[in-house]
Amino acid sequence: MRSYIRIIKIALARFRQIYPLRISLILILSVACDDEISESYESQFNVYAVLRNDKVMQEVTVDRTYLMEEPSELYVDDALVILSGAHYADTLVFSDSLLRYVTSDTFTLLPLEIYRLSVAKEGFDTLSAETRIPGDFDFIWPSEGDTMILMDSIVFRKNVGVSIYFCYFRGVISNTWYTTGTFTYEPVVSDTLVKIPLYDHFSDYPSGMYTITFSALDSNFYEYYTESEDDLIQAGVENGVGLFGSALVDSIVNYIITE
Amino acid sequence: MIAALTLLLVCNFVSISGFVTDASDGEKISYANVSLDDGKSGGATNDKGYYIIHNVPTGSYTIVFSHIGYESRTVKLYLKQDDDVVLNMEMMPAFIEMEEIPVSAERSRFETSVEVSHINFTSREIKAIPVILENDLIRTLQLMPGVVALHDLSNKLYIRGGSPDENLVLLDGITIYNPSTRLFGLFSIFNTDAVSNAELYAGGFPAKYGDRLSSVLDVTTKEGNSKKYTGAASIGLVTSRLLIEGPLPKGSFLLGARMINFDPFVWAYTKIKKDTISLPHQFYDGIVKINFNTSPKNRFTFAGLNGSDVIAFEHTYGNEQKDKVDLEGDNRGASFRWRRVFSPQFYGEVLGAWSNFQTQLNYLYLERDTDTINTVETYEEIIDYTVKCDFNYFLNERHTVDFGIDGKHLDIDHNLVHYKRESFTYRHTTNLFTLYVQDTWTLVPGILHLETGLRCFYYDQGRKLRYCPRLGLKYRFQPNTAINFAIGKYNQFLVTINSQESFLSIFDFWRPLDERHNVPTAYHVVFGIEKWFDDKTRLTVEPYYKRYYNLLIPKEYDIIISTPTESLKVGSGYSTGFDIFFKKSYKDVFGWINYSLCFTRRKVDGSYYSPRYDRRHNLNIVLGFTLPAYIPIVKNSTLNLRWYFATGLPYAEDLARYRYFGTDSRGERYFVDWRTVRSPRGTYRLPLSHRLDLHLEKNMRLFGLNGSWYIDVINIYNHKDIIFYTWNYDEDPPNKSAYILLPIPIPSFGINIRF
Repeated sequence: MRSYIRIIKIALARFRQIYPLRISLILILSVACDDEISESYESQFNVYAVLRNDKVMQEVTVDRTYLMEEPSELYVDDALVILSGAHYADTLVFSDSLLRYVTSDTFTLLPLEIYRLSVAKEGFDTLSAETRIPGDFDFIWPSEGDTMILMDSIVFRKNVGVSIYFCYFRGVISNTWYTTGTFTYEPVVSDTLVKIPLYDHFSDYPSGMYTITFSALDSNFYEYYTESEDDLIQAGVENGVGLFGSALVDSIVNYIITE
Repeated sequence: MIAALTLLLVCNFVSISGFVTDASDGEKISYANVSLDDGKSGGATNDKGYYIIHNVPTGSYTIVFSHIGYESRTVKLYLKQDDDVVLNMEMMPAFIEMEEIPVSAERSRFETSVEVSHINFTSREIKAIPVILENDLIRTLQLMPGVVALHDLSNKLYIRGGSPDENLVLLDGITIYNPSTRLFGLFSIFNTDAVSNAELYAGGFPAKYGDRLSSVLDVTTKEGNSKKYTGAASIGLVTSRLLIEGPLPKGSFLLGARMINFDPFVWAYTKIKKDTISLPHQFYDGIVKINFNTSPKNRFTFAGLNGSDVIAFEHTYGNEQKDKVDLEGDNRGASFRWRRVFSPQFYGEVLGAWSNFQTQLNYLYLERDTDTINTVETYEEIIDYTVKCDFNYFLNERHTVDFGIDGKHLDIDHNLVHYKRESFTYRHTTNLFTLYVQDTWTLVPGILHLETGLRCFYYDQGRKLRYCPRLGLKYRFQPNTAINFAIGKYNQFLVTINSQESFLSIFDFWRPLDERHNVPTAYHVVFGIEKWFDDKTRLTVEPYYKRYYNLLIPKEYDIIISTPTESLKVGSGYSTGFDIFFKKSYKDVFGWINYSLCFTRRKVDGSYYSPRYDRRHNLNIVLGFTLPAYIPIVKNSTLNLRWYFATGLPYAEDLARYRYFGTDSRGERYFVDWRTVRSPRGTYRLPLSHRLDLHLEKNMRLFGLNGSWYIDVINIYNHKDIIFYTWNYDEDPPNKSAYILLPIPIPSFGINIRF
């Protein structure tokens, strides 16, 4: 017992000899050291698909993420890819020529319906994705076949579920193809009408019959389109990266007088 | 008892007050000692050079003015009944060693005032410290405890875990919104020749300052020499500076100018890259200050600044297509100040200030998918009108009451034009009114000081009324040891919408809070111990804790965002740690060591992360000495060395990569690019950062004028300090490479002339 007390006394005496500064230093070092963090990363699927009502076959590109030190491959061709929605489902097949998955049969999209995508393969988390097709176009002016002048505007009701519009004009005049650039419209949420002044975009083309094509794209596409380069893109996608979006495309044919 | 009462009946008490100035140039002298030979009465000048000694019994006295660096002045006085004495004093500078000046001022503050997290710098000290290329106020402050820099060229102040937009920066009362804009952010707008002194409050700042969450940098320019015409000219590797000052009838003036003469970085870059890139760059700034003392009680001061910074970048593809960037930032400001001594106990200042910052970016680029030239134009202007009244009332020898009102009107205009279509226009006007009162109470003279204050804000957006109480305490329990304590609440009504964590962010884009936002709030608690081992050796240890609420945090990688305040996320956070500062001078050697430990975390979307400026450890060692006479050429030169050592900055590591499929207008994919999967914000750290710098300066005579030449060498032992990593995707898998700002030791040199 005595020896224990002696040891404790010696220990206390030694402890007193250690200056508070040293103790403080030890405390500082112990609390100030950061744990070395290393994130482990598991590869995920990377998909790209924009469902379109003007296509009879839908396409899905399936790839995966690669570790920075890992060589990349030319897409994933052996996954189970299922597209479903509006009481219909299809298992997609990989096309060697297109390097993407395509529906095995005609796959017609219905406006405002929700479609889902599932991508599975052993060793990967199953990717699931969802998109809602934007609502139909409702043109107020012009109607099909109307004649327009440059001071006119195209007016239509904002589609349900749309986040961005694309529009371009194409016509054959005197055996020459004329195609304008693509114009982008990001509707303001409170607006119910979309108005596109013709003179904004259609000044250097000859008069003639033009097909005006509009694409109404959903919020997933908008997110993908506008995300900064540094953001991880998961536009409508869970357990993976990429885009699963949809577009509703419509067009009208009108005669446009530009002189 | 009877004797005391008799004494009270027969004696009357008067006060002695006045300003203490430098006899050579008329500049104020702060913290000079003023003492009476009765052995009891005395005091010190405040930061404006004003002193007052209360309740001095009538009779004959000898009053002594002393301040290290100046010859003491002794004046005999006979104090008559009911006759307060105004005694303005001019003190002649004495030849002293440079290092003694700060020691003296600090010691005086230590004995007389509550000094929590407060650093004061004179122009002379700023110039004595080796910094990259040329001396700079903000770069010098980065050597102080609690202040960190993101990298070697960063000229922003990250103070105790606060971001730069949380710092209030004042120049002669003018609020400066983007102080670090010169030469890609390499220099601040402050012309060090014109700076008289700079005060940095790293935390727990008093009630007379407000509207920022973290800290205050209050810079005052020189008054202008009221005795004779003098000047200073400097030619350095990058800039040339000129300062002229002199007397005016009943006043003085100061004119300062600075402009770029050569940019070695641009030169080196264009040499390396040769064919396709040009980077013309220019900046200039000017400052003017005029003082008039229309009477002993009235002083009028006008201060103005004007500066501009222009960067033009051009990158040509082939013969025709090109990327072109034109970026311009202009700082302008003016202030008009009226100081009046109403009575020996009561003086005040009225300030009217106008501050304007404009930035304009024109970006013309080649759009890869359509092969067309696209344009982005953005413009921002912030105009700040401030009217401010500050009053000091010396109630008695125990109490000094500071109070004031402040009205601020802000106009902010920001627009973005993308592809010749206006993407957004933002115009906003706000008003902020402030009222403050602050009492400095000497409970026990020389031992216990208490500083209590309250700052009230009324903000017209959402009609927000906020109260921010402040408390500071100094307990000098031993003659050379004191405890400092401060606690306070701080609000901020103006935020930046660009990330403060970007590697290169020259201009900040400011937004006032709108009705939707809760007011960002911080609480500071600082507890410090200050010990003087002798008159020239000081140690300060200051633990602190800062808690943040309602922060508006931009996305990590945003430099310029497209929509005002919409992408800001509401967050919270904290910063805690401590700063140690040890300063000593001995004969011809002086120096200091400061070490800061800081933990900074922000919380967004429910999870904490380390912001990029979360430097865990930061150590600076500064050493200066006069070289002995037996060394040829550089004999009697001053040699200053600075060694810096710090933890690497946190960053998000690229963990993986994936293909990004570019789309056309119909949603068809048509090009492939690579994007990365990053680790969460701040989970990795860069390697340790450290380097050694040298500054050698020797006085000389040139064309019959006094002057000096200097040489700076930065990063003497050529440490490769990694700033970030990049990946080269030309190979598969991509190659990782480190980006280093200072690939070689960088020398610079210059000449200073005084006339």
